Amino acid sequence: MSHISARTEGFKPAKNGAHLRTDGGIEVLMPWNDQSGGGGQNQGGGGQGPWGSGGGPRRPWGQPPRQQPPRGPQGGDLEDLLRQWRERFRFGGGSGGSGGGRGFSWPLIAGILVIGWLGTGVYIVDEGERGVITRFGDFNRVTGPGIHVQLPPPFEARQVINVTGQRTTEIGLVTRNNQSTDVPDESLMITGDRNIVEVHFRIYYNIKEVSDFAFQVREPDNAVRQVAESAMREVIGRRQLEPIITTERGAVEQDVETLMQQVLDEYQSGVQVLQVELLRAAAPAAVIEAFNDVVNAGQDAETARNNAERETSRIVNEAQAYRERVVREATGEAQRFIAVHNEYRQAPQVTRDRLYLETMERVYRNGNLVILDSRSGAVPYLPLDGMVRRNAPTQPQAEGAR
Amino acid sequence: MQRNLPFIFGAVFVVLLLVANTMFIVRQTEQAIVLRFGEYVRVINPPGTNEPGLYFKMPFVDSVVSYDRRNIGLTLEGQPIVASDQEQLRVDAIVRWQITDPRRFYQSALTEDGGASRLETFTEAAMRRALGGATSNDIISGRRAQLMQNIEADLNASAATELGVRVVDVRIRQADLPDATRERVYERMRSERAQVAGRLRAEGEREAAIIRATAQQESERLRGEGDAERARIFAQAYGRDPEFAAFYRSMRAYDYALEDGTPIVVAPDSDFFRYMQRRTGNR
Repeated sequence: MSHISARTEGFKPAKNGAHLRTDGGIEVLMPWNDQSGGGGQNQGGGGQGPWGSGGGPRRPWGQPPRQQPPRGPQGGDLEDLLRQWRERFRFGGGSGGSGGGRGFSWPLIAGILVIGWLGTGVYIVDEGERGVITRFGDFNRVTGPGIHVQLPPPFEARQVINVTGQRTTEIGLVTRNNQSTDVPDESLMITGDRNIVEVHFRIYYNIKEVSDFAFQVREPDNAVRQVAESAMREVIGRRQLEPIITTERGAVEQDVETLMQQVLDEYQSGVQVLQVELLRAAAPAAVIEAFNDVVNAGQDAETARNNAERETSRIVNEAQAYRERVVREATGEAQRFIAVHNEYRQAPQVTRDRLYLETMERVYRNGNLVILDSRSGAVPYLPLDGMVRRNAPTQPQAEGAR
Repeated sequence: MQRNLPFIFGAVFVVLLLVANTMFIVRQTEQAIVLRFGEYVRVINPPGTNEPGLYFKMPFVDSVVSYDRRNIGLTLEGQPIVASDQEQLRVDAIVRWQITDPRRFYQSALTEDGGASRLETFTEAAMRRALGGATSNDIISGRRAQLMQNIEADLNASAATELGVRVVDVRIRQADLPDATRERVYERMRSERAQVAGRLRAEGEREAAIIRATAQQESERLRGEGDAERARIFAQAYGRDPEFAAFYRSMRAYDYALEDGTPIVVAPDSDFFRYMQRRTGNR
């Protein structure tokens, strides 16, 4: 009986490893236990492992008995109970019908119970779900969407599992009310170049083999999480910090997905990893400022380059301008010379004298002229400085010198 | 009839009692061993077989111990490991395991919890052996997969036969630096970043300097081109009559070179004054 009683919670993983089954079934008969003074009901309700209660050899044990509705009042001693039952039988069987106004007949109740019992074998599997049916614990069949009938418990048990629906698990952060909080213990990972990176990611998966999912791995969703974190840490550990947070994010996602699928297949977990989404891969908060400064430095360098480029165009344009100017001036001057020279050739002496005199005329008029006889030998003693400053006295001196 | 009722009930009880003690179910996810007065009789549905279902036993004589037959997870948190380069690491590991020999398991561990804690001890020892001989770099990155396989093999050689389990997989979830070291790592990361930032800025300046210098080079080249062209033009023009060109150019130079008020010493017998001294000139 104790085994049978496990029909609804049939696939809940056992909390304790071993269930020792010996003569446990007795406990279904509650009154008898009460009578024997063992505190039977309490004994049944403890939910402890077989070894918990100590004392004596292996104790009779079983799951807490399922209390069937028609069992009638509990407790009391055997005599009371029997007396009550005798009375009931008198109502039901004695009058042979509901003549006395009490609509109470045993066959009717039994019929309702049987129908109700059979009714528990009808179940519905939604689109995207699969029903996994075990017969006496033995995997029997998988049923698709629709309405189905199974043998009622304890003969068959079912587990309806959503297989195509996307399941997700997030690692490195906890999302509550659309606000995600970092979980440093999960999110901080060490990279191949001994840096620490903060990684948040999400796994999308569903079930490709429902019987494996139901039977092969205990707490498969938890296993997916553990494998995901381990795979991510392994992948991060093989790479360098900078690529992880910049260019190789896609590759990280891909590697984690591949590695996870490989491990989960090795476990025969029946899980299909659909996608690994890297939500965040960045420097941890403690060093983020230094990282931002690198970005700033890059900008600064870019600015310096841009400034230099701007100056370049100025410098080059100036030089081009110089070249064009100089060439044009030279051309012009050359043309002027050629023009003058052409005239000079007509009358060389006259032109030469004229040019000389015109030039000297201009020069001497503007200059501070000192006419000095070179033969007098006074040149070395001339106070040239004074002559530059004082314009007027130079003339008499010059006169005097002459 | 009413007199018989107690006997009928009694008989039903006895039958139920017998049935409950005779039949038992081994589920798809379980395996079981049958003991007769504590002595091993048989095993049902161990991994590798597929025989779950309804079973019978001798009532009150046989007892059944059932175990999970699935892949079970065991987490080891924060194991302190000293790597071969004396670096302290905190290693978390996940062991996936399965009871493969329930008889052995019953003998050595009795319960799953007991087995798990034994396995934990074995794993700690195996991790020390495998990771203690590796450098911290290997553990963190280089040979992580290899080391995990070594631990798995070690466990399968030691714990597996002793406990009647199979280790499906060992994964180093986290191989991390202790908190004190973590701050040092942050410090180093900061200094590295500062270095990179400095390098970027310096590179920027270097490139800017190069760009400017290149511009200067281009500028000089252009100016040189201009100067060369100018020289060629003049050479061509003045080449027609070098003597006159020298005279002509000198005249222009005198015109431009001398500022107003520049003292000029001239001999009275210079060309300019020749008619000042002699009506006919002195030539």
